[in-house]
Amino acid sequence: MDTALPTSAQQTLPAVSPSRRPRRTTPLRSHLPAYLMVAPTVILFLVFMVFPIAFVLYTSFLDWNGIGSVFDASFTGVDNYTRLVQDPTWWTAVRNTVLYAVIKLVAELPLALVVALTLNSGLRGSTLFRTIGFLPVITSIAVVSLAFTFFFSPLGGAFNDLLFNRLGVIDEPIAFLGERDYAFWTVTGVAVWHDLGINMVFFLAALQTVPRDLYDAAMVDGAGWWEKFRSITVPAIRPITAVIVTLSLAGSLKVFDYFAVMTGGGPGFSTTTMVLYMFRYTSFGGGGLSGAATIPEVGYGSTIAIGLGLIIFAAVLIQQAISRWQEGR
Amino acid sequence: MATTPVQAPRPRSQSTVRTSYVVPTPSAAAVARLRALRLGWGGVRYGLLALYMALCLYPFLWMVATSLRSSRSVFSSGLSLWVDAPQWQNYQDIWDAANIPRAATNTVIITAVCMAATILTTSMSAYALTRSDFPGRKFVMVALLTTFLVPGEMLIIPTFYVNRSLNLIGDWKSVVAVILVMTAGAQVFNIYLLISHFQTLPAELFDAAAVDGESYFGAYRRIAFPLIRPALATISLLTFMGVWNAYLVPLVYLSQVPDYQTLTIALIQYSKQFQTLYHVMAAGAVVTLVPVVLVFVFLQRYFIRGLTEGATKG
Repeated sequence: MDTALPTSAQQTLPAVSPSRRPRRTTPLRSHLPAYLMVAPTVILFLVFMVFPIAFVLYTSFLDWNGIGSVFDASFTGVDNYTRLVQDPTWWTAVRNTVLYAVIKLVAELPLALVVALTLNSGLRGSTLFRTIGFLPVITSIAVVSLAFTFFFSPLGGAFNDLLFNRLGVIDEPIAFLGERDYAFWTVTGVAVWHDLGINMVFFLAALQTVPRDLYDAAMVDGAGWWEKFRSITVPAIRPITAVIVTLSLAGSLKVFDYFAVMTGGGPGFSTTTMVLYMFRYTSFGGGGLSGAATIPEVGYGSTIAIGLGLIIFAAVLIQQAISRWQEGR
Repeated sequence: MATTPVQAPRPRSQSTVRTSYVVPTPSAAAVARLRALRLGWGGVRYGLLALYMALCLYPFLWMVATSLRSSRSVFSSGLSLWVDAPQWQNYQDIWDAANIPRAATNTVIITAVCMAATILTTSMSAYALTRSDFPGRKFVMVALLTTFLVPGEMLIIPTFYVNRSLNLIGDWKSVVAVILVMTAGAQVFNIYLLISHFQTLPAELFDAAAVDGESYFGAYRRIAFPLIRPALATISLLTFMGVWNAYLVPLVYLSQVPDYQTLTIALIQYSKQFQTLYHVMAAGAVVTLVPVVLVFVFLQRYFIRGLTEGATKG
């Protein structure tokens, strides 16, 4: 062993290093392998990210139906943007989406924390509980939404059976996904059911980093439940809470699947979200969405896409500013 | 339940370790009271968890029950999970009507190719971005980070026309478009996740490899790639879940090409066509969900670790 290592090093070193090190090649050339390795990402990135960003910005100024060539479309300046600002349905979509995002966050954060705290309190079988609690998260939103369409149906759906036949709290079966007063809340409820587990797991991961000794020490010091929660648990979960808020808001503002499958944005536009409204002006796959346009207006759809991007961007900035302000406090 | 740790105060009072404070030995009555309180509290916690778990599981069980009902009993069974006479025919019906074998094959192909393409492209570029300081590296990093803020939904319209100009619309070409769009969308997050893993590998490792005559790419393939296998497993799982469950992108590209649809799209299209055949739809839903649920049940540890790691590191 002792002799084998140096000799092999002596043999390989002179053989390799002259060809590799001293020759002064241009940096571009010497980095050729690195460039080749990032090439697929850069190409995908240019073709499916950078160019589309420029393209959607460009088409947002056009009167274009998306069927003919984009070069034949007429440039209409800021017309699409003035139309967007004055479009009441767009603002309905914005309001629905923001309301959805806020309600979902407000409902999920405390629920997920309570479940995570319970799971973390040393109960037996908590791994099994965690698995079951996480199950909805991994299932397809579209498929689950399809099942819930029947679940909330007034014709033999399980939820009406519960409220009408078994509990008797309603006078007649309700079309939970077909009535203005209920549809939005029902879909939001399904979304909370589906996504709660992920936040529960995030909280649980943060809670598990807290050493047990800390709680024991606090108990010896005579700290009550609330004091332990406030001075040990809250600081431990603060970083992950910021992550949850960011992920949840960014995800919720892009919501599509739940509403597309369960209500299609209806009745009327009462459950239309920003992405759904954008879809309404395209020619692809929009069938079944409430008030889908017969002639696509891809120019205006692009303007909606820009509006959607700006709102998400603003939400992230606001959220970052708030969390920075909280850290500074 | 009997092992609920009620004896917490005991070791301290009899401890041989000197402490500066005195903990009085609790009286037998106090211990009994404490134990009752603990048991009661434990019961409340179990009750709470049981309720939550029931709420999580019930819709799935109900879905399975619905998938076995007859066209008549499906509308009269309500909440019940009981099935009198299982109608396995429903599975045969959805199998034929939505062309499940074809859709399942499409889904498997799209998912597998997306997983392989994502793993390959993101690990290669993360490796190069970590190991070399080539001109333009900073620019690529900043550009990736900037577009992280651009939601994929915002680019649905333009990417469709990019694919149209690339002649990637129609039949199997639409499948290629779906794979390209989803792989492109997975880049930024995964590259950042992998960079954080490559950074943990010591530079001496690559120096030694270079001394041994290992090429730049060879060091990636034979040294770096195997060493970050756990992270790659995480990405595989997340990609599997994301692509198998995807709805928006396949909807855009595949709703017009019946033979090339994924399970989800085929099922949703079936539901639009046969709006009241809920029992058959439920059978289709079960077929679509089962693979993901199985993978999750067997690999749940990795799923959960992957997701939390993604949230805290990515």
